[in-house]
Amino acid sequence: MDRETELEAIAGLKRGDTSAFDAVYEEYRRRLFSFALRLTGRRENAEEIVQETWLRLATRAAALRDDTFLGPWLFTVARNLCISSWRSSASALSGGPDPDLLEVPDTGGRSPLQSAEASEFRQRLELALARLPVPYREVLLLVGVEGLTPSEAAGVCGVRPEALRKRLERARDMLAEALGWERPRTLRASEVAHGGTYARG
Amino acid sequence: MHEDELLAMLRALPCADMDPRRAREVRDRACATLGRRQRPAARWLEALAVFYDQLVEPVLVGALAAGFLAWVAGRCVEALSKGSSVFF
Repeated sequence: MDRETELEAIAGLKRGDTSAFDAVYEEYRRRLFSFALRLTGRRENAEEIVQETWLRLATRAAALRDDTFLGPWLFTVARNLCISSWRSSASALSGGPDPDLLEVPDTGGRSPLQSAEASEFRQRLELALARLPVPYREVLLLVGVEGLTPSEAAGVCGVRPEALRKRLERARDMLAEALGWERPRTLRASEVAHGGTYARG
Repeated sequence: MHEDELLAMLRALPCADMDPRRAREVRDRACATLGRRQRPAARWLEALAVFYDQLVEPVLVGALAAGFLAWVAGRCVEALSKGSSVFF
């Protein structure tokens, strides 16, 4: 969704237009659910958090600023709900990702070997991500997976951009360590897309 | 570690999705909430806008214009009655 379309959607949401809501829902539904699932590690919790996030958007739509950035707004609400749910249940995170994350089918035509390699690598990445402490995991999810800018992610996490950059750097190092990498060579785009051969320690 | 490399790998992670029925329920509930919260306010604001456009604004502008003209006319009459050649 480009910025112009997003601004139109915000105007629609403020008017109570359900088609504007549908456009935003389609754009962010999977991303928001994946973020919550990777943060909580539990499908039921993620579904609750995502539902509450969408209800909050509906409830507060009229009060949205005309120039709101919807992605950061939604991720901020979802992240705060995750933290609230951990506080109330006193249970932070599970030790691994939800099994569903490991079973999401790959897209794109590949040979069975490429597909198996990519799938194995993805599982390792998901496991390594799931085992990172929350403050480091959330910055990788926001900047790496969701493509937010460091400034936007800083707003979501409620920290200064400089602090977030440091946290992001540390998170990258921790993830590399968890994957057993030393200094991987720079990959070609096709290798990244296929989750192919990476320099491993 | 090369920053772009790691970010590209993370970016390539696929999205998970909710159960379609649950996703539909969430959407319907949110839309119902959106409609409930927005419609009365929207109707009220719309009525207020129409009221302002059709009544308040013309009356206000008319009253201000009439007041100004009356004031100018008053000053003219006053000056003429004193036999002054200079009005103001």
